[in-house]
Amino acid sequence: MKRLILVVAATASFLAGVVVGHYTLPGRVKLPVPTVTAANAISPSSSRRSLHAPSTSQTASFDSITSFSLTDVIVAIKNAAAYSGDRRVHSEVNDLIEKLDVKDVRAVIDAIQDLPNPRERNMFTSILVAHLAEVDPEGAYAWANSLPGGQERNDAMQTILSQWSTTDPQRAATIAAALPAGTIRDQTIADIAQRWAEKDPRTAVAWTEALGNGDGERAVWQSVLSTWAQNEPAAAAAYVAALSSGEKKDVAIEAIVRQLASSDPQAALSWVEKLPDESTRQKAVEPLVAQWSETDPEAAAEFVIHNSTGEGRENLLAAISYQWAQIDPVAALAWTQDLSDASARDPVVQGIVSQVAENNPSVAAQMVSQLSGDTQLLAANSVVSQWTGIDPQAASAWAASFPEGETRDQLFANLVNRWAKTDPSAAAAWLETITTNPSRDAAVAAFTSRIASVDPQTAVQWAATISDTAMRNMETQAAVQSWFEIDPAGARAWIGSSGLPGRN
Amino acid sequence: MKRNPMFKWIGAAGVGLMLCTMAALGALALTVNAFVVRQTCLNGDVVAVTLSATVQPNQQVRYRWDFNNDGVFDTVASFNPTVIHRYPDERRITARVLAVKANGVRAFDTVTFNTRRCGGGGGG
Repeated sequence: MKRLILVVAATASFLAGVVVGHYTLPGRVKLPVPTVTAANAISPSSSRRSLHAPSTSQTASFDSITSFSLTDVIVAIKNAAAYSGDRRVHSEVNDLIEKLDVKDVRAVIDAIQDLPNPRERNMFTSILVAHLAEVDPEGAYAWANSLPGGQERNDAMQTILSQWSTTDPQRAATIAAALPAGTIRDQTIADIAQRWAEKDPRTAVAWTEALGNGDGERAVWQSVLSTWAQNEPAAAAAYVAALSSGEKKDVAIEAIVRQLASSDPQAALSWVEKLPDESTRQKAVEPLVAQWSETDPEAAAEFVIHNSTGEGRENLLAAISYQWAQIDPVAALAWTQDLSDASARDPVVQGIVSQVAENNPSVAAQMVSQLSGDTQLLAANSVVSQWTGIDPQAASAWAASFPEGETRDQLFANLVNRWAKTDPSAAAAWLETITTNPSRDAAVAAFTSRIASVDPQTAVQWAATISDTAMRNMETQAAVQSWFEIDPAGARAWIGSSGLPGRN
Repeated sequence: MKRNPMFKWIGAAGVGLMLCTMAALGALALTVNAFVVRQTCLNGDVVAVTLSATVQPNQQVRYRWDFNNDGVFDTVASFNPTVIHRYPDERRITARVLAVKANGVRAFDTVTFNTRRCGGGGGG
C-alpha cells in the first residue's frame, strides 16, 4: 500500500512539474510577420511556447525587414532582457541589432543603460558596440575615446578593437599597442593577435615579436606561433629554425610542439621532423614527449625507445614515467617487464615506484617484490627514500624485512641518512634497537656522517659502536675532523683521553 | 587592571594565522633526498657508484649532480635522478644533488659515504 502511494505521489509530482514547466519557463519566442513591429515581436506578452518542433524559418522572418525604428529596437532589447539567459531570444535581438542603422546605435546604447540587470546590460551594449565597430570602426573608436575612463570605456574599447582586427588588424594593433599598460591592453593584444594569426600569421608573428619581452607579450607571441604551426606547419618550422639559438628559440619550439601534441601527437612529430637541424629537433622532442605522455604515455614511451639512445633516452623515459604513474602505474610497471635493456627499464621503474610510494608505500613495496636484480635494488632504495620521509617507522620495518646482505645494508644506510635529516633522535633510538651486524654498521656510518657536522662528539660516540674495524676508523676520523672544525679544544681533549695519536 | 578579553581571541587568531602560513609554506616546500644505490668494483682501485635521489612532494624536477661537492655540477639537468660515477676506492666522498622545478624552485641535498675497498681486482 505504502509503495502504491509513493508511486502515485511520484507520478503526480512529475506530471505537475511537466505542466508547470510547460506554462512558465520561457521557450521559443514566436516572431511575428513583418507587419508587426519588432518591439512587439520580442515582447514577453506576445511570447508563447511553440507546440511544434523548433523552426528556424521564424527567426529568418527578420530577413525581409530592411530597417527598424530606434524605439522598436530599444523596446525589443528591454523586453528581451526580461528573458535573462534565453539564448534564442538574445540571438533574435542580435539579428535585429545587425539591421539597425549605424547612426542610431549610440542612441540605443544610451537608452539601455537603465536596464536593471548588469549582465544583460553589458551583453547588449557589447553587441551594439561590436555592430558599430563593424560598420564604422573609426567612429566607434572615437566614441569609445569620448567615454569617461572606467570599466565601461575599457569594455567598449576591447570590443571595438577586437571587431576591428577582423577587417583591419594593422590599425587595431597599432591602437592596442598604444593603450596604457595593464590587463585591458594585454587582453586586447592577445585577442587581436589571435584573430590576426588566423588570417595572416606571418605578419601577426612579426607584430607580437616586436611588442617586447615581457611575460604577457611573450605568451601572446607563443600563442600566435602555435596557431601558425597548426595552419601552416612547414612555414612555422622554417621561421623557428631561422631564430638564433637561445632561450627564445627554445620557448618557441616548446610552445608549438606542446600545442600541436595536445591535439595530435603525430602532427607534432611530423612538424618536429620538418625542423631543419638535428639539435633543434632534439630540443623539440622533449616537449613533444612530455605533452604526448599526458594523453598516451605508452605510445610516447614506445616512440622514445625506438628513436633515442643513451642519457637522452633515460631523461625522456624518466619524464614519461612521472606522467604514466599518475595515470596507470600498474600498466606502466607491466610495460617495463618486456624491456630487456636495464638502462631503459630503470628510469621508468624508479619514476613509478617513487610516485606510488608517496601516496601508498605498501603498494610500492609490493611492486618492488615483483622486480629483481639491480632494478629491484634501485626501486627499493627509492621506496625507502620516499617512505622514510612519510613514516620512518614503517619504512624501517620494511627495510628490516630484507635478508641480510648488501641490499639491506644500503637500505639501512639510506633509511638512516634520510631519517637523521629530519629527526636524528628518533633515528638514534631505532639504531639502539638493531643487533650488531653489517647492516647496522652501514646504518650507524650513515648516521655519524649525517650528524658529524652539527654534533661531532655524539658522532664519535656512535662511530665507536661500528663493529667493522676499517669502517669504524674511517667514521671516527671523519667525525673528529668535523669536531676540530667546530670545537678544536674539545676535539683535542677527546683525542688526549682516547689514546689516539694527536693532531696539530 | 582588568584585561580586555578580546586580546585572548586576537592572540589565538594570530597564532592560528601563523600556523596556517607555516603549513602553507611547508606544503609548497621542495625537499630532495640523495642516496647511494650500489657500489661496484671495476678493477683494482676504481668503484662505480650509483647515486640517485627522490623529491617530496613527488613531482617532475630536473636533477644535477656534483660528484665531489666542489660546487661545480658535473651533469646536465635531467629528469632521471640516477647517475653512475667512478671514484677511487676507500675514499670518503660527499656528493651533492640539485633538484629544480619548472618554475625555478630548487632544493639541495648531500650524501656522504665511503667507497668500498676493492682490494686488487675484485668484483661486486
